[in-house]
Amino acid sequence: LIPHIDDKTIADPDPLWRRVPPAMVVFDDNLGRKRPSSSAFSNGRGETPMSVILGRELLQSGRPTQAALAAHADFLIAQVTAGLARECDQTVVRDPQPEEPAHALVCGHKTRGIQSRLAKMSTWVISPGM
Amino acid sequence: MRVEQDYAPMAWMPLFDSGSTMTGRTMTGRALQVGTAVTYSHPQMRITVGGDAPDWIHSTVRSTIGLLSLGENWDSRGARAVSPKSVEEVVRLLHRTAELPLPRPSVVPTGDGRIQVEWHTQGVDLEIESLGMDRFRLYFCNDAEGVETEIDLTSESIAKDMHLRLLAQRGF
Repeated sequence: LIPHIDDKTIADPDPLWRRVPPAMVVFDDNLGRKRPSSSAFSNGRGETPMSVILGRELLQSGRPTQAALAAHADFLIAQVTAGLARECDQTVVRDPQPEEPAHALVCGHKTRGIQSRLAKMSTWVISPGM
Repeated sequence: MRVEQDYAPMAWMPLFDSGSTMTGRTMTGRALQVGTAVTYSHPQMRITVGGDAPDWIHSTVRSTIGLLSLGENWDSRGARAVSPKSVEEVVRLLHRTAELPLPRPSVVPTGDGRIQVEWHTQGVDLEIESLGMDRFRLYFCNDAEGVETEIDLTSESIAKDMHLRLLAQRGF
C-alpha cells in the first residue's frame, strides 16, 4: 500500500465537502438539528479512503457550490475542516480527477467514534429542509 | 409465509413474506389493515406487524421497508442496494427491543447495503448496525460523561444490553 502523506498545503481551516445522500440524514435531538449519520463519514467499500471536495479550491476556480453535487441534484453537502480530520488521526491528500479537479481523499481507519465525531461536528453547505 | 413464534418478548411479532411466497401487492410503503395487524408492502417483500406493537415500531418498519427502494449505487460511490434480508434482520431487532420504552429511531442505509438504527437523544448517541447472520455492532456515546463504547452483539443479547436499557430509563 502506498502511504498517504498528509498534504500540508491544505490548511487546517480549509473546508472538506462531503456529498450526503438524503437517506443518510438523521435528526439529532441532542444538537436540535438534522445532521449526516455517522455512516456518511465512512471509508468506501474495501476501506478505500473517504472522498471529499476541497471547497475553497472549488469556489476559487469560479464554480458554484452546486458544482460539487455533480449529477446528484437531490444530494446535500456537509463540511468538516481539514484540521478536524487531522485531529481524528486522518491524513488529507489531493486526488484531482478529470471531472473534479478539487477532489481529495481523507485517509485513515475510521472507528465508529471517529465517524460519529465527524458527523456531529459537520455543518451544512447545502442543507436538508427542516 | 414464515411465522416467527420461537421468541416473543412482546405479544406482537412480525411476519415476513418475500420471494416466491409473495403475491399481490406491489405498492411501495402501502399499508394493508388486517384485523388489528398492519402489512407494509414493497415489491420485494411484505412485513405484517401486530396491532399491539408500539406506534414507533409501525413508523420505523415503514421507514425500513422503504429503504428497499434504494437501488445499486444509491450514494453515487458504489453502495450496494439494501436487501430484504437486511430489512428482516432489523425488524427482528426492533421486535427484540420493543419491550423497552424507546423513542422512534432513525434507520439509515450503509454503503455495504446494510442498515443502521440510531438514537440521538437525552445526551446519548446509540447506533446499532446490522452485520448479517444475527450479528449487530452497538456504538454508545455520552459526550458529557466521557463514555464511549463499541461492542458486537446478537439480537438476543441486544435486548438485554445495558446501554439500550440506560437509554430507555432516561425517559422521553
